[in-house]
Amino acid sequence: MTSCVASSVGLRLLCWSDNLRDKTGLVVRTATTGGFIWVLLRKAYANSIGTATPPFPRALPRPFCRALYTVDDKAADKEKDGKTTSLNGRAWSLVYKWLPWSVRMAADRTGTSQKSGLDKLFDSREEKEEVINSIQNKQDEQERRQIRESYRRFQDELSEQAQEVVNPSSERDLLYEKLEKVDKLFKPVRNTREAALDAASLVNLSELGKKKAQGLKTDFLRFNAADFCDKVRIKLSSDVEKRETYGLSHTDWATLGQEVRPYFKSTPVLNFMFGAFEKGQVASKKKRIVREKEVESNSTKSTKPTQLSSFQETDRGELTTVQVEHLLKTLWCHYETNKKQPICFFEFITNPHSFGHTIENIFYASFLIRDGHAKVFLDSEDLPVIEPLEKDTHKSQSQSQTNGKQQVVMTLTPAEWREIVNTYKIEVPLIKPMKQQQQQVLRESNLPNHTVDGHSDAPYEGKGKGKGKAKKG
Amino acid sequence: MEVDSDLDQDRYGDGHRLFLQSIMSRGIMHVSDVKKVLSECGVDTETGFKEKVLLFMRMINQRIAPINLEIRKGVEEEDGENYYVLANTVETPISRLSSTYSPNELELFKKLVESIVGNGDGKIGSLAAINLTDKLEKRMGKEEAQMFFNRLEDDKWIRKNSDGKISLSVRSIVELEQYIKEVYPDYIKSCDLCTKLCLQGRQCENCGARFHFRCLRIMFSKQGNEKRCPERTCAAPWGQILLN
Repeated sequence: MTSCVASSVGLRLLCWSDNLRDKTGLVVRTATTGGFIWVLLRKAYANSIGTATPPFPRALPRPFCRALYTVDDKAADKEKDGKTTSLNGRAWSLVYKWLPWSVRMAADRTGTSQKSGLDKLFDSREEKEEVINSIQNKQDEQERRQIRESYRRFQDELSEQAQEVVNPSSERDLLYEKLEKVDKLFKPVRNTREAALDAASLVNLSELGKKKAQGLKTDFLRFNAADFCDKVRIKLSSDVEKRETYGLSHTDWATLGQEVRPYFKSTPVLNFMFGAFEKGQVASKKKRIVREKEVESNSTKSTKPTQLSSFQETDRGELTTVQVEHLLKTLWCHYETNKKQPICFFEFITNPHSFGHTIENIFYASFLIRDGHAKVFLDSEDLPVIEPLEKDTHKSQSQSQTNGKQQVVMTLTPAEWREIVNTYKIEVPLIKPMKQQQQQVLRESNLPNHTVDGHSDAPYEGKGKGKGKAKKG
Repeated sequence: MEVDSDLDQDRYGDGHRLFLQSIMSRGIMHVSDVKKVLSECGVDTETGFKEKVLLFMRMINQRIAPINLEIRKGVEEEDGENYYVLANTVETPISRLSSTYSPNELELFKKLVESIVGNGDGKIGSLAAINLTDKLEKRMGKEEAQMFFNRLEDDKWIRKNSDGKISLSVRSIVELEQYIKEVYPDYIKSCDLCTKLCLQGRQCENCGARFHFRCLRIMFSKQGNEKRCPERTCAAPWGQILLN
């Protein structure tokens, strides 16, 4: 029974709501719940008449009264005391009939003059109109079908042209075109079914958009340290072969430094010695005296060997002296024949037949030089040459003094001797060895010395070593 | 770099600064390098080089004197080449912080200077130099000492002669001249010809006066054949033969 009442009331209410709107500017919102049509009058109306609940004649039976009230959280705003301010539609429609005339008039009056709270819900008047339209004008089923068809077509197109949409380098901005199209399609949409299709299309479109964005090449250079090092190494390494090995060579580092230098501003570091350390104590004189003494003793030692050798010479009984004199004579002879030109030293002393004799010759020559009878120097080609000197007492003294400090130690190995012989092509010794007999006589006369240099036979026979190192003093 | 050429005469300008920076980074510069840098600084190096250089250096020295620096000219003892050296002039607690060598290494350097000065001919064998580490209070390894000497050589404080011995380079002599004269007054001799400190040099046999190699060479080239001791009181014939 209630349902029949409700449906009849609903129909009537629809007509009534139109009237109401025209007269009062109030809008009746419809909501469907469970098949029944409830009409909810907005709180605005309730506010406008100033009462939370419309007055009811108390005469209404209680269950009916209870039914009249609904607690609708969505539609109603709660008053301060927490009571709901709305009535269910059924009740209200019934009530309206019984409203006192004064209340009705008040509702009529206030509705037009005051801006209703409803207006606050909408952003603009256009939206309000739209909503009203949408409630009022039920969309044609045919139209709806068409909309749905167009959406489905749109979806198909989207799936076909997906690749082209996603491609970022295509000329047409297909994505944007599709977006505009779907916007256009949405305009006639009134119902949720089409709205759902629209939402699905948008979802697809946005996914394609996302793919397109990902496909864009931003060419964002990322710094990869390992790659950078490799490039630096290849650029710098001068040696192509070494490119494979790790590290840079020393010159490569220097090149890198040169290249990089203009980009750094640095001040040079000052580095000093003076002032870097503290001054020590003033050095005393004692040390110096000691040093001088040392120097003196050294010099005396150096003179001693020469003295000894001369001593030995006299003891020997002129053996060496004779040899030396012989050498000097030979030197003078050759000097004369050579047109007073210095003689090549090696040519002079070398005996191609005997290594030992060569060494002896050097030995005797050294005496000559020491005593100032001859001099050895380097000629223009840096080869040693020997030249006899006029025996000048003063000069020899000064020379011996100065030359005393100059010592040359000459060594000659048998191999070198042979090389000299080959190089200079010496076939005949310039210094004629003294006759054996003469030498033997000399040796026999010096019996005490015989034992000392008993090995003196050996060098003359052309084998063995010489008498040690020759000294040119 | 384009620099006005009359800046070197009148005012301290960018040319001076450029030269100062280059000598700061090197510490010591050969005369030819100086010439190159000066031509870039805008100094006309063709004409009147000596006077211009003198003026140039003087301008710079005026500016750096308040911070105890000076550019001095020196002669390398062995080969007689001219060098310009940036030297510290005053010993202060701040200057003691300036060195890149450790205090121990500096002690070793002091000992080295001592032995070189004490030695008659201004040289010391490299082995003897390394053995100086024994005299240090704080122990230093021989390899460490060798590396330190190599660093000194790179920085041009010491020099390895042609005979392999270590001697003080012109940089050390120019900078430490004052120090040596103060601390070792009895050990050293000054060259009679140029009146500067003479560590390596030739001595006259007669009178014992010392001269630099270069000073002697110049003197002998003027004298002609007969080489005599430049010392006025001596004037003995010079016995040594210069084989250069």
